[in-house]
Amino acid sequence: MTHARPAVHLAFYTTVVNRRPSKEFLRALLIFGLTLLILSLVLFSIRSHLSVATSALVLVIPVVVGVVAGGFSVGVVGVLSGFVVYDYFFIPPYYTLNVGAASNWVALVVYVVVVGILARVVASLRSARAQAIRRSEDLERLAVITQRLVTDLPMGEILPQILSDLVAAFGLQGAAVYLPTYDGLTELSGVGEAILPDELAALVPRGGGIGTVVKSEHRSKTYWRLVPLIAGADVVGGLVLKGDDALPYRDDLMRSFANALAALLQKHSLRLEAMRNSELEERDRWRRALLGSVSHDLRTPLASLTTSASTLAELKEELSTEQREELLATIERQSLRLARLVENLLDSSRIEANMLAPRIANVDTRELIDEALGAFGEAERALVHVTLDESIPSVAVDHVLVAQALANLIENGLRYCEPSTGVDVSATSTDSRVEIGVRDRGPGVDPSLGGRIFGRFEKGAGSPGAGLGLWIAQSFVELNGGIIGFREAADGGSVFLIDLPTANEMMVDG
Amino acid sequence: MVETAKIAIIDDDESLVRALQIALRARGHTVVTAGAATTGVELVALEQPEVVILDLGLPDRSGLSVVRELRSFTGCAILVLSAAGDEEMKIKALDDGADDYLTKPFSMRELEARLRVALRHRSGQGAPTTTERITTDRLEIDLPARRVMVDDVEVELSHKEFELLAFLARNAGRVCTHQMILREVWGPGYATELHYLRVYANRLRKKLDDPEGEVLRTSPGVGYQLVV
Repeated sequence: MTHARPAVHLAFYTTVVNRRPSKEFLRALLIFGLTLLILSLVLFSIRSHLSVATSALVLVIPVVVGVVAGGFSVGVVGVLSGFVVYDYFFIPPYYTLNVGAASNWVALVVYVVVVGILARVVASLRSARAQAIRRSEDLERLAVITQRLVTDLPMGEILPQILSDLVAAFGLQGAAVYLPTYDGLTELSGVGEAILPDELAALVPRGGGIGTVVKSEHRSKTYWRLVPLIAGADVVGGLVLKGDDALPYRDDLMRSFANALAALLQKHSLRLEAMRNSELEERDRWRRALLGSVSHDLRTPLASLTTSASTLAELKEELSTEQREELLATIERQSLRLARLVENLLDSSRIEANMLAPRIANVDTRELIDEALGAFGEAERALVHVTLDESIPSVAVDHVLVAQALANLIENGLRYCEPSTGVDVSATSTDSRVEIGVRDRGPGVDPSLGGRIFGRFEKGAGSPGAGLGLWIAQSFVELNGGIIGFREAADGGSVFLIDLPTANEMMVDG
Repeated sequence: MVETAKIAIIDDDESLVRALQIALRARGHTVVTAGAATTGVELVALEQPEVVILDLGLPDRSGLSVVRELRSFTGCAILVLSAAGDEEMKIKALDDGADDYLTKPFSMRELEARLRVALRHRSGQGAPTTTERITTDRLEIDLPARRVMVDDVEVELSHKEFELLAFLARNAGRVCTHQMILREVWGPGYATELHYLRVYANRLRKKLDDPEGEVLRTSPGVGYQLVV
């Protein structure tokens, strides 16, 4: 379906001529009257010294002043009243409208003609000047809108500004921009008096949406109008204006406003679409990776669990005590591994959903490390060597989150360490920070990973795990105002470091 | 009494290997293990096991290449384990010469059932069987005479039905993939005509009085296996 660009909608931006005398007109009339009165009094006092023609010349002045102040309509009043005053007071016989001598007739006619022409010329000069001023104002407003359009402010800030400009420029009560949605119109932004639902409903064309033509409605003294915002061939939104008078519009400026708004809306919707797409892609990647880790990383511990448990169940009698104990230990270890993995998956969903609010309290550093070790079975714990000074201060963190981060670092270390050397956990402190180090003497970090080691789903070639552990560790540490990092140890292996704020006296102990 | 055998396990998951080792040893089998593809191939060459339990997700090399390499020098039964749940990988392994597969996690009972089938079939010889007569509890197939007896009663089979049964019988105990069967029985142009196979497998089951598929077993999404 093609949208014919509506030609009609321009016709609605016509100037509405005001029928009531405006304040400006009355003011100009007053200025004219006063000038006429003063000059007439002066002329009257020295009337005997003046010729008929001189008085006519002087009486041109109030009419010119009146036209300059109020336009041609004041000029018409001026010519008529000037004629009467001139004839009555300054053309003998005085105090009658009779015109005596033929020369006086000439003076009177010349006066009327000259004043009439002058009023005409001055009035057109005046309107030309007013138009020029208006045009420069329009240009200024346009410049402001253009400026707003190119700024990279969010839509939510630009739109109200443009609407405020609009309300100020046209003396409106309110203005709002609507977007067409599947179930009607949704207000995107509004300024000034709200557009009531029934007012809006009256503007919506039959069949819903915004349509392609301007639609106006009024109820007693309230006028409102829907202007479609068209970009290219699409109606991207609607501008609703509300005023207490027949809405005064000027074609060019109004059109510029509408075009600017349409362009803005289109830009906005394009950007939104791009954002939604990248968000979808990210979600898709996340889901795929999650599925991958569920099918591989959950099945691997489950395989040993199932095999060990079913062996115990089926071969109860044939197994020696040692074999039974080994199978039971495997079950314990794999259950814990599975629990950590599930915990990590849940944690990453929580991070994803921004659901984590750390509850910071003072925690003893040693207790924090013990809590992290609680996630491991006895055999694995035996591989972790903790060396801590008595003097290590407490830290101010959420112990649940930071212990989980530490556990992830330890698990990572255990994965790569040699059983003979294990994993070393130690801590150093300065006045305000405690640094906990987790060190393994494994092969070091896969250089192809480089700085992405803390990235989500990043893992070394051939490495087990979903690539979530270090990402979660980083997220949790940073949520607690800490810093996470790693370096290659000089004598082989990697050291992961967590830098945490020390306990705060103001804080309650955890 | 279940027969015992020498079994090689090639898997990098130590916990699983340990548990399998305990279970299989308790059943009287001899178990040797390797944690990677290269050491695994050496182990098989050295120990000459009757069955190889091979994980497809090894750290150093693709499990598929291990299947191909093993097949180049041994006729032992190969049982592949996959953790990925990846159908395609399994099918490729079977096409490349694996006999059967198990998806992790599996129970000991499942593994023992597969082992039993593999052992019975492979007992003592390599490659596809050259036996002319195949007999099970109720079934007797005489390949050169093209004769099939169920419970000592001869069954009339159509040409294609017999070809299908004969192919599975020659590979008895082994999971044959759809493609493998279609290519061999119907010809190279029929490799994707799955419905032919379904129709004939159903007809065969009816004629062999095997409604539950206990003799002609279905491996869903993979293929068929004649259980002997």
